[in-house]
Amino acid sequence: MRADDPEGALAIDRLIDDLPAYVESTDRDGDIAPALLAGVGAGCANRFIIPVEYGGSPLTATALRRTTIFERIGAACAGICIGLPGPGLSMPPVLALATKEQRAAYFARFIEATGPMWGAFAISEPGTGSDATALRTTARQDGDGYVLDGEKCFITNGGRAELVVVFASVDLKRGRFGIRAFLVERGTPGFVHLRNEDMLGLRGSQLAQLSFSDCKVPASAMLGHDGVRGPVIDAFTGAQSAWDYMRPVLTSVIVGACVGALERAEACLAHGARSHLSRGEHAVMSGTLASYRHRLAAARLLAYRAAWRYDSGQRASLDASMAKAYASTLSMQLAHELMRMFAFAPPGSASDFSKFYRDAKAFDILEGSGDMQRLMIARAYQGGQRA
Amino acid sequence: MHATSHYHTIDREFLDFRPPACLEPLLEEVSRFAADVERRRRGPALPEAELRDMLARLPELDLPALLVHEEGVDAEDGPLTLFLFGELLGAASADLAWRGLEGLVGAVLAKLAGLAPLAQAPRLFVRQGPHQWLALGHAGQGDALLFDAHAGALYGPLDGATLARDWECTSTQGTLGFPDVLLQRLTRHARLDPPAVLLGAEKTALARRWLWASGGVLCGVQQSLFRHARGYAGTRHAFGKAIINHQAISLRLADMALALDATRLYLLQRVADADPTLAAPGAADFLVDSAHALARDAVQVAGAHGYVDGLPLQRLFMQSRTLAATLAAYCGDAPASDAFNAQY
Repeated sequence: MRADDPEGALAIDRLIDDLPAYVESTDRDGDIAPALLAGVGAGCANRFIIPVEYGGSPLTATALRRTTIFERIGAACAGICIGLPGPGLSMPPVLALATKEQRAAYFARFIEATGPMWGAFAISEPGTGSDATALRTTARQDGDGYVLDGEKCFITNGGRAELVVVFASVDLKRGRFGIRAFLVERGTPGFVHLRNEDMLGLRGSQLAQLSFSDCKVPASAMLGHDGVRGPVIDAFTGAQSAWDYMRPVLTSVIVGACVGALERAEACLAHGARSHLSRGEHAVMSGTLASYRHRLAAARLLAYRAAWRYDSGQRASLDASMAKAYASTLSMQLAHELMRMFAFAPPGSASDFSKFYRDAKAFDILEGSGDMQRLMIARAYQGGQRA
Repeated sequence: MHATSHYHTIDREFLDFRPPACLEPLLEEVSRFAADVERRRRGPALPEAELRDMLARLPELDLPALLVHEEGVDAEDGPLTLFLFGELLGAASADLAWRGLEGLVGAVLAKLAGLAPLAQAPRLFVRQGPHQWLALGHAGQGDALLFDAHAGALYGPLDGATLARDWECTSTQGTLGFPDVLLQRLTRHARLDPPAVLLGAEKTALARRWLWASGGVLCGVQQSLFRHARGYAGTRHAFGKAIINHQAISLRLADMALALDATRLYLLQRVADADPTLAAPGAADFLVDSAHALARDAVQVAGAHGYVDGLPLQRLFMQSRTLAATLAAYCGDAPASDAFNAQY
């Protein structure tokens, strides 16, 4: 056990130990039971991914470390893993775009919160999914502030978030270069949480639809508002940094979910769940499951590589896309195999993989669909970004 | 699953697969050699005369000496060197890699494994007399063996050392993608002695090193497939633009890139760790499936031009299959699979 954050390590272990008891209720209710988070302790949960210099845990100080931890949590329940408190996807654009003062104030909110606190990242819109640069939400300058108008959809943890990083355009004609990021507080007049979507899977993470109508925020809400920005100039690049950060972590959640399902399937086979099968049929199933161990090892390495590049300041967009595209395809293949092997298993039984089947489909859609990832990969090779 | 204590051990730069600095001169030399092979290749394959010439030059690279020299490369770097060497050569010419590495790697293997200097110990299948062969492999009755007519060597899977005597060939045919490598079968009457009698534990070391090198060759061939498919897609025009700009082709190329990177990272990790679990159950399925998917898509990108002789794709498609099958033949060590499962 690492000595410099024993409390954090214990919190993670406790979370992983407690999680299985809450999987069913989370899937049914579409929400994480407060008791689970209370057990972890808000102080720990909120700061899992916050940088150490702002009071975060050294256990998750690098993307590479986060991938190992999130794989473990994902193995227990991917939906809860994605729905855990903390800044989440709102953090990378803050790191990339915000001023020093904005960053300190933003992270302090999470560190000082007495209960679980979520952040959210709002860029997708009903009319512009994959092409985020075509967003239509506007930020009109009005006196000493900005007025936001528009609608955001499929925002992870959007309904729970106290702070939302909202991407809006100050000049639609300027395309991606007109986009700015604003930190918007829940409760700001004009900011409405319309609804949570009824999702097929990953129900612990809530996809929300948010509306901004005459929503006035101070100029200081714009990340990097006073010209002394973080390392990145345009806000869309800040959004890209969020995906570069998130995709390796999400890949690890996917790998974790697959490992969890695989181990359960192997245990089912070992304990005679398919005892009516011939020895040959049993061997074929075991062999199929064994091959997924290796495929998952490859997916894990792709995630590690992307995280390692992110940590070392290299361009990681392509690697992040590759990791996510590979793992999400793999998860659906595994889910299909398991549903074929254990067809018509009693609901809720150990050999019931229907929840994993529902979850796995989401992996190929959220944080950029597999098709979009592949287009980005192909473009990178076309453009000579990768030899 | 990882224990909590793993959280802080993950920072090591184990994904930085650049070779150690002391190996760079060697790999640069191999790169130049591979580039020369590329220049001499006409069409899909290296002409026989050029192939023989380059094979004769291979020893100049001095890989065996570098790998085993006391003041040379540490034995720990051996696996990665063998892999990278195989990869460079495989990308330049699968034929050259097959024949060249068989000799070079064999020489290295014999020394690294501490083998007695048998006359043909480098071979994966070694002649012991006019009618006696040392099979470093699973040479059961009817099992397929690979015989390279030029090298005078027989190949067989390496998961057991079996002495086969008085064998005779019942059939001879070329191997997919390697017409000079002949497929031979033992007769029913061949006498097979128990495995591991002659080599014992050394056969495991031999098997691993062959895995590292042949894994590199497979990766090299896969890179070559991808490179040629991507090159074709960039120059071939249809409906007013290069076909690489059509989404159907883009998506296919992306899938190929995914298969290539996933396979390479997987193999590199195993090789860098000198991990015996490469031979775990299921690894073969993964490697063969992945190689097949990439080769299939590479030919598909070029359509009929990929299917007919002219571009290298047709030949690489076949060679990839044979190399993947050869690599897969060495996977299946049960204790190794247990180690793998314990690790992950």
